[in-house]
Amino acid sequence: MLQMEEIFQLFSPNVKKMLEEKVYNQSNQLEEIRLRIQKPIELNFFQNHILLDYTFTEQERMYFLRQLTNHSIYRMDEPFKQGFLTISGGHRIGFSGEVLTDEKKIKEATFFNIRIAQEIKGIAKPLLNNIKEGNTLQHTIIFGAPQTGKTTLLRDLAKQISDDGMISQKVAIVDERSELAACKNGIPQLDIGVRTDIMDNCLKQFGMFMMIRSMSPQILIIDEIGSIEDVQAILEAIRTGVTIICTAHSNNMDELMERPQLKSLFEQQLFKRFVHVTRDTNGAFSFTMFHKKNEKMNFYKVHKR
Amino acid sequence: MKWFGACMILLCTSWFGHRYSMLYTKRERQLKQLIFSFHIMDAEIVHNQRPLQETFSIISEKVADPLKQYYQSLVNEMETIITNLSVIWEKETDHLLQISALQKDEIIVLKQFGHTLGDYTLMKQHEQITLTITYLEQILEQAMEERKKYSKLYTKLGIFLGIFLVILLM
Repeated sequence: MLQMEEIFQLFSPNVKKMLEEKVYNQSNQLEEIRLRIQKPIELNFFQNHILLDYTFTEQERMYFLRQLTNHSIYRMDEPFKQGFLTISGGHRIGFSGEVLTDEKKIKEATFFNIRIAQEIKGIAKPLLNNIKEGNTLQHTIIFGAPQTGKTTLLRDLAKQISDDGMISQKVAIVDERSELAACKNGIPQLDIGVRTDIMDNCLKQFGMFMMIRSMSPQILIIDEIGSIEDVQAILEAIRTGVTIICTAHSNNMDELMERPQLKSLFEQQLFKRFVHVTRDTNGAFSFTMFHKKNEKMNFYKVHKR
Repeated sequence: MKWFGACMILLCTSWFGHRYSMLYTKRERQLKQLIFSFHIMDAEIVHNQRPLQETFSIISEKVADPLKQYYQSLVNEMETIITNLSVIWEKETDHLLQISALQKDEIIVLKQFGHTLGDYTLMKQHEQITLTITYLEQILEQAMEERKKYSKLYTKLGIFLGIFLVILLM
């Protein structure tokens, strides 16, 4: 519940009370809070959703924005350009609304999606043995549909690699959207391990090389690759001697291989391990490991506590 | 003894006259400081995109009392979750009127500014600060003229009132 406090305090006392009542005892099941102007506030749990008997009014929207920025709404210019903001605790707030097409930014945000950050310590432990050969970690790509737990897994994997007594290595994270480490003023809010360096809020294609040049990492971790630039940067980086571990959106292996932007990455067969992440109907995380793209190696499940 | 009393009367009235004239000088000085604080606010908000609480804290370190106290109170108020900043701004501005030589004109400008504070985009916030600085500069000009006109007048009036009382009582 303590983790939720950062989110609840963004709402007026009435809404805060309602949220506390609804989420009580199942705070670890809450995945999203959706706010739509003039519509009821929606709470999304893994399997179901609840509409609160409370409309998200203009007043409530202003209250929310004021609390979000500590009464400094002018600071939203940059997040409105990017379309999201990460707050303390690693929770990410996405925006949509009226867009200024000239400046390519949101003029007035009237729809919000608060994605609750999940931190499940130890979730990547069984994975560690499967992505190494001898004492060397292999280039790995983690894939799955949105909200299946890719980022949660990647975050813990960074921590396990960094902290593990046997293979402890220097890890560098390029955290373009501040989701992995949830840095606030450069200080990680989430546990990503003792031997981990972070390049926060930096475009992946630039961040990767800045990290390689300046921080001499052994492992380079990147979340949600998808653009041609990302792929180009990975193709370059992979030949510098660092091990790449990244995530990508995809429902299954075939779709992943067919993604136009990522195709060139797989043609060269640089990735040695593939991890498919899915969610069961009971909310449990399932991980299937593949050696290259078709040899199934292992499978394990982690239940959300 | 008589002369001693006369001197005391003269000293007292002169002191009151001087004190009253000093209010003009103080107002002018505080207005200049207020304008300076708005320039800092503009720089910190527009260029550094610093949150308001931090901005107020920086200003409070760069200005003298009573403005230092004013901005520091705002920082302290913002330590807790506040629902409406303009209400806090208005309350602290009312208090500023009591502890400073500032007068109603500039206090009204400050209060009006408080209604716009923090709720606008960067450009609009910059425009609001610039507009407030312009108003305050106009008030400063008037205040300087008033000081020139009345400051010496009240000093002299204090002395003359003392002399008048001394003559009357002797």
